[in-house]
Amino acid sequence: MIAMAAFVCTLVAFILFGVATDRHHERHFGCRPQPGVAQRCRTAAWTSLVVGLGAALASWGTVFGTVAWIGLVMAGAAASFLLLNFSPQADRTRQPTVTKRRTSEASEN
Amino acid sequence: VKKGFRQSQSTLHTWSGLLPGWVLFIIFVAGTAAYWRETLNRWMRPETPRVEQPMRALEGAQHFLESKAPNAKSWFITMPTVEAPGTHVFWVPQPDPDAPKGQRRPGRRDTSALVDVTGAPVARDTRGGDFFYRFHFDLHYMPVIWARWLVGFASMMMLVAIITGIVTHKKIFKDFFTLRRAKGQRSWLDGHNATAVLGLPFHLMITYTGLVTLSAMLMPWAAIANYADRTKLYATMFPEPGEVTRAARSAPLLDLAQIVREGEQRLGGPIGYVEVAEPGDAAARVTLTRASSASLATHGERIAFDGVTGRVVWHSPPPDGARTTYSAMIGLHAGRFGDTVLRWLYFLCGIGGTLMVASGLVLWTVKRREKLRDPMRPPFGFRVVERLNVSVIGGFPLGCAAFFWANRVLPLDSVLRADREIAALFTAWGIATMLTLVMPPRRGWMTLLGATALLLLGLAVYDTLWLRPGLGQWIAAGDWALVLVDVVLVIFAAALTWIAHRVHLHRSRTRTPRPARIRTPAVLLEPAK
Repeated sequence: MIAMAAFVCTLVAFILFGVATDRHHERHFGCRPQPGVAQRCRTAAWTSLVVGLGAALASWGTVFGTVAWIGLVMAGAAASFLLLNFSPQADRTRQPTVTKRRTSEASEN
Repeated sequence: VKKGFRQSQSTLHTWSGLLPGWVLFIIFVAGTAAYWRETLNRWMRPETPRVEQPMRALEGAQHFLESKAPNAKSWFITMPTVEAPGTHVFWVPQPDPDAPKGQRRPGRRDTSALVDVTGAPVARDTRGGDFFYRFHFDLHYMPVIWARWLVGFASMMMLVAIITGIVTHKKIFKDFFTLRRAKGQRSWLDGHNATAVLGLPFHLMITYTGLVTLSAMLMPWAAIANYADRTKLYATMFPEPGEVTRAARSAPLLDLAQIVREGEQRLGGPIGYVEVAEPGDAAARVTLTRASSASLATHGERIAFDGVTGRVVWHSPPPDGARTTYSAMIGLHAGRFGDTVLRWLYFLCGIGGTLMVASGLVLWTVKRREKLRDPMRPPFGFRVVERLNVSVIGGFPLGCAAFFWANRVLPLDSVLRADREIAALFTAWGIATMLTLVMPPRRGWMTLLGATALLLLGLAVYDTLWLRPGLGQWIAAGDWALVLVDVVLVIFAAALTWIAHRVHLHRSRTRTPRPARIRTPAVLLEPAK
């Protein structure tokens, strides 16, 4: 049960990291994040990762808990990656943002 | 200068990844499957009753050995667990002083067995999940030492590929969540990056610790410099209580389960191995090793008991720092300490690594295809890579599916059954390779991926309808570990079908050579109204 909570923590953390980026915030909320919003998302994400570490240590002990937490961080990152890129909402907004993204990429390079 | 450095790293990444890539792919597939070694061991012996009480199973194993090899020099028993199909035992017969020197010792087949809870040998002769474990570093059909050098070389290249990959992929955190879908080369690149970056801690760990498992072979200099005598090094790494001199007086061996219970208390954890020297003799000695599931360090403490009186006669010296580090790294690699959740994490990471290697191999052709002068007649090297990709990435999973099928359909009494299962794997893979030579690569991909998907799906159907006890009985008994094997195979079948479908869709778009497409009037490309 605590193990599950640890996974939810790492998953939430990476979803927050994701929506703090311009591209995914735009895709899911229709606009770029305000500077303060992105910052708060990242702070919340780091907090969530630390809480997740606490849960993993509580569930598995110090040695295995650390290994398990690193594993859960990878699992949370992978699951949020799939959610952010393959959710129906991401599909719906994928096409219209293509041109916008191109221009932003061009300015980046 | 900076750009030149990154460019050189990029080139190194390409070639250090490509050349050993096909070997790495099969190492990854086998290693990933080996995380479920014991589960597969059970799944491939479905009629064997489940081990519910390991101590009862140990008693069964002792009865078996007492009747089969009462005068052996030693017995080795792998402690049965609830995850295992039974008890693996092997024995070393007394040396025959009359035998001519250099004569071959009896084969493994004659001196080992897998016995079930009741102490009867298991009927279905198979390597089970152990096959994937051994294949992961020993490969097959070649001397073990060559295989290990090959695997070691591939792992070193892998480490180079990972580090150069990190240098090359400059926006590693910025592009963390980026996946540009349906965009050809970019999508492949993003997919390759995603599988690499998301699993990066695992990939680094598994490659490095994998090299550590082979370190004594790959870099023997430290050991040679410090230990003139190899046996002394071995004794330091794996402390032994020493030889037992036979008393030539028979005395009954104590109940092993009782000794194991005592040993568990003294070592403070479950026991993994039981070794009995001179069973049935008055000098008999029982050596217990703590299970590698008990701690991160895989080589556990050992304790020896007098086999007749039950007195403690020896205890392994406390491990030093080097030995603990070595042992913990191997533990981290094999993940034997893991509970179900951790095992799933290891397994998912293994799948991530497999996808990383596969997507990297495919990316090599995707990148170069766009620059080909004549797409209908690519250069020889390009065609070799393209076909090898189909043959290995498409063919090896097909071989694994054939291995599972052979396990199900070969008659239980067939001679050398376990070897024939393995032969089925390589035959299917060989046929797959032949097909890739005569088929266009796209057709090859679809055929092999589709065939593998069908075979895997078929296994679940077979397990439900014909195998007894099968899927229905496992669900009824709540044996979820075995149920999940079939579920995972069906998920793999679905994923392979999806990929085959995508390859099919892709074909219709890019089949036409480029110049022809440019010449097509725009009007013809408009949808009909």
